Amino acid sequence: MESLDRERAPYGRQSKSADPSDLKSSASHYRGETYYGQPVVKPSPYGQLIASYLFLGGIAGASQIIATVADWTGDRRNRFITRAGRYLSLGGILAGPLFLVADLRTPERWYNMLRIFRRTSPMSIGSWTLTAFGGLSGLTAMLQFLADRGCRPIYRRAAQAVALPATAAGAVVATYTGTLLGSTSTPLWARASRFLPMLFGISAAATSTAALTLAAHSSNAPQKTARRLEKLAAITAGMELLASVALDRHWERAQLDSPLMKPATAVAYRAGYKGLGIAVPLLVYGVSVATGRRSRRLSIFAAAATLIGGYFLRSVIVQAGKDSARRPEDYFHITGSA
Amino acid sequence: MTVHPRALEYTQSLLPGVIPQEAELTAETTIEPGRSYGFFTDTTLCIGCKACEVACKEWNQLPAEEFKLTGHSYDNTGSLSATTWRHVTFIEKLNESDGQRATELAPFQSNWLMMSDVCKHCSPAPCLESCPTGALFRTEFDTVVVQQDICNGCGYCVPACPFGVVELNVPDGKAHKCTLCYDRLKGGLEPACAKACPTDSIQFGEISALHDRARKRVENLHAQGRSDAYLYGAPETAGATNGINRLNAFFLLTDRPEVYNLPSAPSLPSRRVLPSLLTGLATMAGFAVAAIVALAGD
Repeated sequence: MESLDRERAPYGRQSKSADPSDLKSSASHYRGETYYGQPVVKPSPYGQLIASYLFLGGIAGASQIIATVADWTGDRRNRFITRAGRYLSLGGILAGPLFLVADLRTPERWYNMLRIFRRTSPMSIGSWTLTAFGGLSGLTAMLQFLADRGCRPIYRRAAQAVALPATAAGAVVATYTGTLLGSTSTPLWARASRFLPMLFGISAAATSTAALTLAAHSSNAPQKTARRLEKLAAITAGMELLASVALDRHWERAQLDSPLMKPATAVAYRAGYKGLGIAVPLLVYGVSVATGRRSRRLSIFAAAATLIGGYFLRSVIVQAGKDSARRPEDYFHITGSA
Repeated sequence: MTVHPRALEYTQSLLPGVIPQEAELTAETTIEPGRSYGFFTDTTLCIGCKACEVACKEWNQLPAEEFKLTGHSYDNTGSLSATTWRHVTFIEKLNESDGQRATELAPFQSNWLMMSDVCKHCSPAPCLESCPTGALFRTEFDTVVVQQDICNGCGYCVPACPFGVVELNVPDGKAHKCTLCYDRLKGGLEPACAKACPTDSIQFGEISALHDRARKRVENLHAQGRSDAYLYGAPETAGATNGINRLNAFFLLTDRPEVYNLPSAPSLPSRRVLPSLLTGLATMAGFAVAAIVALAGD
């Protein structure tokens, strides 16, 4: 049974004038009593399954981009990145949607996602993009496999051609999830509808770079390859630092940051995401630049921390969004008078 | 009060069947496909009897909620849910801020605010716009309904709704909400809640006729000294904002919308889709440039 929240008890409620003109002239933030503190909007039903998909989909999308860039720039030492990126992309896009289907409350009807296309629905846009991306990634990986086996060079060029639309779709896959959360009535997400795809995209870039770094260390890739990936990891961590600081300030100004202050969420967000996901890779890169020595162990540690941090980001955003939907005052902050 | 002439054709207590276009007798409305129907809920007439909640549960065969006491005045229903499609809110208006009981009573409702909340059947509707399967659709009566044989329970309509109406049902794994009694409309009957409402606080009808009636009611109340009466969800009023043109279930309120747990200026989530997608793509373009810099040979 719900307990009566004394602080929000209705008694002695300030009865505000309801003159319609007053509605227009009043400050945009409602500060009066809410209806017994009852939520106005409903929290999304998403949990760890969706957080896992957000993580895997991001890696799949961004690694296709890295693979293509590696293919078109640099020397032969980038070939490992191209190959591993294409395989990683396929792996991510095979695994990710399994979590999506598992999260459906009627999973046997998953194919209804492809029944219509609706441009107002990021879920619909995402379903179709995932389908296209899955097909293109599969084809790219297959051509890559044939090229690797030393078959005719035409396969390499074919892979290069198919990879271009796959890369474009990958850019959508890595970021539309932020749009999906932002295009709701959940206060924390709705007010960050432009920040979330940015942050998710950068995190997707960071985590797929980290995964490729781990792959490079665990195979016979040239040392130069790992170093280039570490440099890319440092750049993405820097981008992520800027984006996350900007988003925090944005939420704070909009007075929507309370859900992120909840003890468990705060630890996961600060230590888990910002600590492991951003601070560790930046520090490790800083140390290796300052000392001029490259440590394989530190590099592996930084990459693993980035991956864990990236998962924390998705998990925290999903959970904090649900908590914000349960706070009527937060919703009224974003629905002040027109 | 005049009796509809057709009512005289049905004087026996046991009727042979459904009265054709019964809504003409009960709501002075002919129900025809291709026209817009909705609710006008006049909260100044609500007496909090919850007949609408009961009628809705009975007609739609919705299971009872868990029995519980909320401690929130007479509202033990709590909120709209997958199995509760009408919800009467109770707000006890006491004195200004000193916690004392009022010594003067408002001319109606004895200082109570009661409102029967329901799906707003928004136009355009955020739940419908967010639905990836097409399970949510707009009917020939301009109402918004979830097709139960198509919904796959993705749950995206739940956070999309700006009013917290639609919800997933755990046992069957589908989204549910008010259908504005789609089946009854097809049979020429007005929705169960409106028919059951003893004070006509819930009025069913064609939207344009309801708008006219509601505006007259506001004028009337203003003339009687209730200058705080206003419409919520009619075009160009609170509730119909930021891309939501109108709520097909609209309300007459006498206090701020938030007091009734309604947002003053809700927004259409789909308006955020394009700017958000483009920001994402720009970010990845930026990342591609960073990757070119990092991966270029040295």
